[in-house]
Amino acid sequence: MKKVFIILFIALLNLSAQTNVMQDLLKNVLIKNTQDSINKTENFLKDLEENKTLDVLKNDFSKLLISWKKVEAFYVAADLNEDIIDTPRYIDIFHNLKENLKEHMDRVVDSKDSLEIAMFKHSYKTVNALEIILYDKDFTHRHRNISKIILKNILLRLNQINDTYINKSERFISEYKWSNDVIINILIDSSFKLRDWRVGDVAGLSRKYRGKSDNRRAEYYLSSNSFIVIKSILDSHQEVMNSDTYDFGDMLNDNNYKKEVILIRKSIKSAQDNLKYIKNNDFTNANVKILYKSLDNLHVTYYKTLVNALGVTSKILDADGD
Amino acid sequence: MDLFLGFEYIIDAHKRIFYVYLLSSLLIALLYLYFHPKEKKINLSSKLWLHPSAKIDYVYFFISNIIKILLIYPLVLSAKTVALFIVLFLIDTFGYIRLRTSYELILFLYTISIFIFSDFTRYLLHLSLHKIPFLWRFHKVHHSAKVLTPITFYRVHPLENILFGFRYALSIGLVTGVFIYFFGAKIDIYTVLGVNIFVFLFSIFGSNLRHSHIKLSYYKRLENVFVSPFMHQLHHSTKYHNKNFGGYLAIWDKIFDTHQGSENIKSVKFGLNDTKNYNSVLKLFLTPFKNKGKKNVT
Repeated sequence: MKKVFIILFIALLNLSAQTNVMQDLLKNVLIKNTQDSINKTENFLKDLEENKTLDVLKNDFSKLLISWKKVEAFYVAADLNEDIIDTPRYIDIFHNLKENLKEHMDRVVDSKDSLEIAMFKHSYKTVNALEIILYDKDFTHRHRNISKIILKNILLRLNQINDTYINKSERFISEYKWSNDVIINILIDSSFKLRDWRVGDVAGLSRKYRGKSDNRRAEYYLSSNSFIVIKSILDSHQEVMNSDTYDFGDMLNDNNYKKEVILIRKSIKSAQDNLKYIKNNDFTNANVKILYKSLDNLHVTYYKTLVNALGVTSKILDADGD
Repeated sequence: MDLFLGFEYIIDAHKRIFYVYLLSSLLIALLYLYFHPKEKKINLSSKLWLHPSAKIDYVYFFISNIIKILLIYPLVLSAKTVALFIVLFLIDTFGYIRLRTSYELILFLYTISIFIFSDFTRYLLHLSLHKIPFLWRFHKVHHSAKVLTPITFYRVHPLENILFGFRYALSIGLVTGVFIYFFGAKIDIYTVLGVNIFVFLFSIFGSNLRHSHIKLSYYKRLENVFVSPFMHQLHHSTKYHNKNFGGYLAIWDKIFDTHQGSENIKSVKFGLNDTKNYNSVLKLFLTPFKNKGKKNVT
């Protein structure tokens, strides 16, 4: 009987720890990062309204990217609210657009139509379009107005995400197994895009572009913000897996995934350290290879954790002898 | 210690002789005997349960269990290793894909895919064990039983255990890897007591009667889809051992023309024509290495 009580007590403690982790993730990662991104967008808009210099605006842009990438890297809102599955694509079209956005934005700038008409496509109102506008050869009054429209769109979308995290997060807190799956999925997704899209494709290390590096493939080549974005994404992984409080990584650690958690944390740290040695947004730098290797380890270890978590594959079933 | 003695077989729902499956089989058997009283004599006879062949099965069960724990399980590839290899291979070859669909649909698809693909690979391996002379030498150990009891299920040479271990790892790993590739972490399986619901259902509805003398057959049409206990008993006979290789589903036998329904078959003789080489536990282990087996010779 005593044994049963002890087991029940441990199970209750475990459940409570899991709930706390999800609540903490919601409050201190999901909502905090989205609100931070909203604040950065609002500040940016304010500086635009106040006709601040282009340098200030470019600095605002970098800050917006850093905050937005944390939201994008850990975007679980689509699982909480199907209506906003596509919202990240209305903010950021990296790898989601086949057309040449620069040519399109040049046409928007040169067009005689009003901006409401000229900016008829969703892709014209994204951070990628904003980068083209801010780093164009001139920054005219029309450029400024285009930027305002883009930022208002981004603000609208970020608020939708924020509303979801605040009002539709019940399942995330209450259904541990489901939220666990959602988190693992998004970490895998984010680590793949980080490894292949943001580093491998540019440095010629991915399968698609093996041996053909080209800095122009970088996510924010024009503004040279590609590496701060990579750092921001890695920071978001750290917030989930290795924060100062009891986090998702600690929870996995306590559920027999110690080896995997150590490797994940090591890979994040190693990738963050490597970033310090890469200068001038140059993906041909020798350290990029080491960075890629760390990101590869991170991605594969997430998968290993997932596979090991699947009880369905752990037992050798009786199937012999028939 | 319990592990070595094999007691966990009784309390583990993944095992064929899990007590719930045994009890359900017993219940079905009693019902069957109620309606077929003439068969009571043989099924309740000590001549069956204490037959020298059955006694060999009991001893062999314990010894082969120790061999499995010490020598086979450490050797067998893990389904997890295969799943991880498959998912990374697919990403590297076809790029990264993540499909979004309902949790419930994935659960249903994964559960049924695992069951069907696993049953198919069991059929293929079983067929190979009969058709490839080298493998038949080892599979003859299982077919050498002169009487069938639920424990006969474990009369399997260690080499065959290894093959089935690899089959399990490859088939479950392959399906799991493909599902992870498309759906990520959102895969799960409908289970009862931790066992795939289909496996549980088939187990509870008398899979232990496959190795018994209860000639439970299904209606003809049903036997085209599912393997009835009597159909598997036919597979153990000297006459029909090249038929009915299926595990739970008979569709594979239908497709590959190895199907034999139980209709109009009254009685069969179990075992091999040559049984003197299999009349001790030691011989069960060693005979396959001595025998130069010919294809399908009993």
